[in-house]
Amino acid sequence: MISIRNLKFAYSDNSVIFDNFNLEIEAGSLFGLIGPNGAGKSTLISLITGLNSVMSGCIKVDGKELSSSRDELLSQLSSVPQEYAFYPKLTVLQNLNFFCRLYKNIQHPELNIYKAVELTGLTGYQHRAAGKLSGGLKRRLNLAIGLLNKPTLLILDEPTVGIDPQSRHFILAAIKQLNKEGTTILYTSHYMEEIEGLCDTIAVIDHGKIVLSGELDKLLLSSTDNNKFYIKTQRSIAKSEIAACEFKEQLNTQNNKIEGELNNAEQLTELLALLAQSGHIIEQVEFGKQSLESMYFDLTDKAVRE
Amino acid sequence: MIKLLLNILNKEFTLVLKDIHALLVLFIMPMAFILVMSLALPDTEKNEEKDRPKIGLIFQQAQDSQLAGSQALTQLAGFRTQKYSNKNKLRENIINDQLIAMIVVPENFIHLLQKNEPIDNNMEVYYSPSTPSQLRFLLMASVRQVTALWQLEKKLKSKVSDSFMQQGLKDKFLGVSLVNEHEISIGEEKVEAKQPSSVQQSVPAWLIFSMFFVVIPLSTTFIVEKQHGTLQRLKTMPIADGYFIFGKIIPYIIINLIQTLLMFLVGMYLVPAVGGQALQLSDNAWLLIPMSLSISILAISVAMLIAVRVNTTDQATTIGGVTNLLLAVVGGVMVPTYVMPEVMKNISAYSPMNWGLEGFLTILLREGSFVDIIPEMLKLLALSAVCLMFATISYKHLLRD
Repeated sequence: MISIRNLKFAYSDNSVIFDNFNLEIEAGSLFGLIGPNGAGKSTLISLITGLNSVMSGCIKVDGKELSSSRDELLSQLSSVPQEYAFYPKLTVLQNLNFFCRLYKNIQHPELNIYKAVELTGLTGYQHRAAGKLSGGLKRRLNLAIGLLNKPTLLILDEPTVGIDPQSRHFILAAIKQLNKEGTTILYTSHYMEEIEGLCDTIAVIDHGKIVLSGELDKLLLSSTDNNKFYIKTQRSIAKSEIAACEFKEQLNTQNNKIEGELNNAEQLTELLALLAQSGHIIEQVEFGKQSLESMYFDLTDKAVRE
Repeated sequence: MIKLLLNILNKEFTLVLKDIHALLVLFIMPMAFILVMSLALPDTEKNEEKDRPKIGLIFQQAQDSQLAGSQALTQLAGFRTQKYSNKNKLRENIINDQLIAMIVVPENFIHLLQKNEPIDNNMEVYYSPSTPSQLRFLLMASVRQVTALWQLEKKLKSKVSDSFMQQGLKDKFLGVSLVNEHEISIGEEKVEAKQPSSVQQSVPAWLIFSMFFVVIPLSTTFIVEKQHGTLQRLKTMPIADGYFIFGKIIPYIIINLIQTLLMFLVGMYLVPAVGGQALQLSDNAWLLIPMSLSISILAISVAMLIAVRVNTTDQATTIGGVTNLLLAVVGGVMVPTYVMPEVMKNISAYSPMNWGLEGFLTILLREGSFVDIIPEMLKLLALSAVCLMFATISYKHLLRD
């Protein structure tokens, strides 16, 4: 779907962002692009959407070069910015009508608007001023506008920032549904859990370079830290409940999660038994598989960025 | 293409109509200024000697000015007179000294008249083109009164001559044949002989001022688009930048034209209703449309440039507001140019608001034609082109870095 070859790009202050950058995103994939602030994610999106022009190299979408087929490609893709990119003074319907009618190739705008409203759960809110919607509804409207041209490639830049868990769940479900229906999705987020639960392929980008990329499951399993474990229970775990554990120093407890590195599988069995004795119901257990977050920190270091 | 443009226009109109504060600035503010200033200005101007129409007087034979009869010419009722030594710079004197007319008394005119001898040349009256017909009539009536008095005085002292009787008692008595009337040509210079009335000054001045205030709603909408990522979204859609720029210009041109219509209606009907002088429009009133359009295009171009270059609505309001105030102060909106000292008048000529105001005054006051307002329109449109060019370049580069 997207093929980036030998990309070179620098801003006008000569700060080089990409030099000989390459990336492939398969059609139909749900691709997670992650990296710290200033890593180059937004610049990459601006290059794919034609906001910025490449200095050398090429970007192809569906086999067509962006520089020569810009208008054609832009009618097939859609970019949902992180900000609420709509007019707060217009109603939901006025916003949808306006953005939908900017696409010359849409034959039945009403139909596209209806489908976008339905998928994002905005039915019943069409006549409300967009600026007066709750944070979750604003995010859904932001997404709905991105769906108006029924894009084959949907670029989502942190689409769940600052909203409640219910709205986040709704949006993530809608994204999964879109992907099932064949839409290729390029997804950026700082929520590693989101990426881990949603994406099939990822690329970790830092300082304008890809430091890791591939199918997510394979990447997590191929980690060398294969004695790392992760347990999630239904309720919070008190430290006193694992005080009897001989290797308690190796455990890191936070609310209803406990993770760390064990010496062997027997220690995991012992820990699970201890939790069961305290009446905990185990929701999730992972062993020998690194979390995306820890892998991410290993690759990009934990130091705070700008 | 039309559908696309209509869609953009519909959005811009909806946003402007929802911006109550901007509408108040654009419509209520100039209306209030026009009403207040139209009522306030006449009181300060009434019955002042300096505000009487000024005429020039040239005695081609210097001794004539010493004759008893010539005094009557220097004291024409309702006029101020200023003497000049010769008519070599007649036209320049009329223009520079803001005279409504120049009276030229030929050599020996009074002397021959008093001797009751045949007169070689008549008195000449040269008018500024901007002198209205009522004033011309009043001046002629005053001049004829004086010449009639001269003759009457002479006739009473001597017998009525044969020649006087042959030429017709009535004409001679009224002095019609003693005076020729002329109008000087404008040429390439502007004639500013007549000062506008308070309503003639206030309506165009405050209209222009309010037209330039489109910077507030235009930049507010634009900056919200920039800050909210809407502009980013729009720029990733398959539409040329020109549509959005054009889409922003058209609604505000329509708003400016509505402002023009409303403010002239205020001058014509509302100002007289509250005791002021009514604004009179003549046959050339249609010229207000091209003149308003030129001012509107410049106001929007300046607003676009400010909107594209700044990042916050606070910056836009401050920069736009201060720019407008400066242009208005210098341009003769707040202080009419005819009361400014010469230095300020020269500076005023560089303010785009002054170009617009001069254009309007040429139409309203000097009964100018389309050709007469072309210089002002060209200046306004040329500056618009420059502003719009920089605004378009900046718009194209927005979000790139």
